[in-house]
Amino acid sequence: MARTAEEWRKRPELDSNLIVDPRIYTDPEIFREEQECIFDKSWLVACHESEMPEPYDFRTYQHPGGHNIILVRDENNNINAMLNICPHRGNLLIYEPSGSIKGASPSGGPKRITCLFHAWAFDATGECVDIPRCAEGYQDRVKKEDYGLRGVKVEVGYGGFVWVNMDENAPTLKEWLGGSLDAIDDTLTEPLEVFHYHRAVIDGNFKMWHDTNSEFYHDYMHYHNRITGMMHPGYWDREYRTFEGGHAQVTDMQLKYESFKGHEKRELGWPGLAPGRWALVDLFPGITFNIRAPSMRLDTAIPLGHNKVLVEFRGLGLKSDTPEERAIRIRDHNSIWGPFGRNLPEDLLGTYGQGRALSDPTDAPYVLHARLEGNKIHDEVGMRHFLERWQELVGRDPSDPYHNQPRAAE
Amino acid sequence: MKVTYEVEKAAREMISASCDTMDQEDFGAYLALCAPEFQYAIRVYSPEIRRDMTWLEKDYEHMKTLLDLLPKQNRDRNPIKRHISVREVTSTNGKEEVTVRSDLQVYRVLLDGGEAQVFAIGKYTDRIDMSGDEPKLLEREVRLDSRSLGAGYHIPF
Repeated sequence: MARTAEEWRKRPELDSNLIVDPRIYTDPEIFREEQECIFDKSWLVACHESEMPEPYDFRTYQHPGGHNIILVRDENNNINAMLNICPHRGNLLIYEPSGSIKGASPSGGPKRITCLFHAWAFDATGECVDIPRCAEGYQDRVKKEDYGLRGVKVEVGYGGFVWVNMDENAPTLKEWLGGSLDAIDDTLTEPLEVFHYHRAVIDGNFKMWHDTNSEFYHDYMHYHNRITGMMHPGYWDREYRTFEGGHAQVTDMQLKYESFKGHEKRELGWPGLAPGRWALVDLFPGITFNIRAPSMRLDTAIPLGHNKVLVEFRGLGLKSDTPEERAIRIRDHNSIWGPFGRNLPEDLLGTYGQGRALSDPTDAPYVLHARLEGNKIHDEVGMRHFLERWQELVGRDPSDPYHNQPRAAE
Repeated sequence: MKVTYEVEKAAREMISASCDTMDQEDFGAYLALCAPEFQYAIRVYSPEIRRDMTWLEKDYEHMKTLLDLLPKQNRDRNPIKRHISVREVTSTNGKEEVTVRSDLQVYRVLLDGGEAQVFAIGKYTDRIDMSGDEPKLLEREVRLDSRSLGAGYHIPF
């Protein structure tokens, strides 16, 4: 028999860290706090260095804090990050997602970022190099030396990913990672190259997507994962290891791809991983390193609001791949993780369903993060560990974010 | 071979039938239109990473396996409709086959309410064996312009 409204609203008799008030997924005010307290202080993957291989190549990044960022490789091969905004009148400097400033643009000369509006020009390091008719208009009140772009902290590492942080006082990337990627450092030793990129926009909160990546209980949703993983020895031995900063690793296992009809036999591995082995690390607040030898997937969650998330999916191989090896990695990646793959669309459907069901924040008073299985594969410690860090930064208890304030509908 | 009105009509009708059978999820009928050496691919260019990508690549046997396993998978149940506009039918290297280029529009019709949405746009390039009693699809490349497909889709376009 279904429960009454009173029964439905009754708080479960579970420890507070095992239940979550879904309003942390649906409240616009909490999302604004997350932008300020989390995203503007976190190291986030903006792109991979192989997406801008040549000097003067650029890539843009839509930062979850609401900032437009340009990444440009300069003539010394250093990658610089700046806000994509002209200091003159606040115009967007670069409109395209990627390209090169090596050649001249319609508004300016080569090797410059030239604002198409009034032709203010900047070099690849963000220094202002030209203000048209500067002396005539500004006399000596405005000087190009004082009008460079706003730089953003940037580091390249852990597989050649380009990380940015809006906080000029942020710890180093290594400190921020808390050793979480060191756990799979043998998989990130060789230069990588992106071969796949696509996006999905889902009506749901960014944490719903990261939750999905942070628990494996949902393998019941995937025929593919049940057949290749859950039904085989080793699956139940996988365990979560948590790291300071809200990050978590899932130890690797040997998948049985041959159990899934139609899969190619895995003969190609990955550095540090034999063919068919699977390693995974979830990074706070929304990045997942996911390697199923022979291919790698990287997820970056970019919230577009409290109830909309854009997820970027990248597929990677090794720069040293032969054409035959690369073709195998691409086929393998997309058979599971592409937009027509056997796994990824189901994960996204789950997040879509959760976003839709929780769109009315009064409908579900609590959801459970309560599986305790000694940190083994169906334990929900990954989500709980994330929310412990979330609570530290946002200052709200996920099970009681308003300190017993009544719900709007109550 | 010479592309006569009859040849073009037969090719056009075969491509239409391939769309109809997929739309109706009558996969056996779809596969019956394909030659044993059938090759299928979905490709798309990414301006973000400035690379050509292959999102799906199947031969006849692997396509059959993919379609056979669909009942076991959770998937988006909103049906899609493939609309094509044939642009060009040309002969292929003197063989008894033609190459057909078509514009493709994929619409999704929501089960709840029936709203039609443009789901994807792209092109088909089909190579069709015309030597037998019935045209047989030898190769289909779906070249997508759309790159954002929501959650994705388990059934090929």
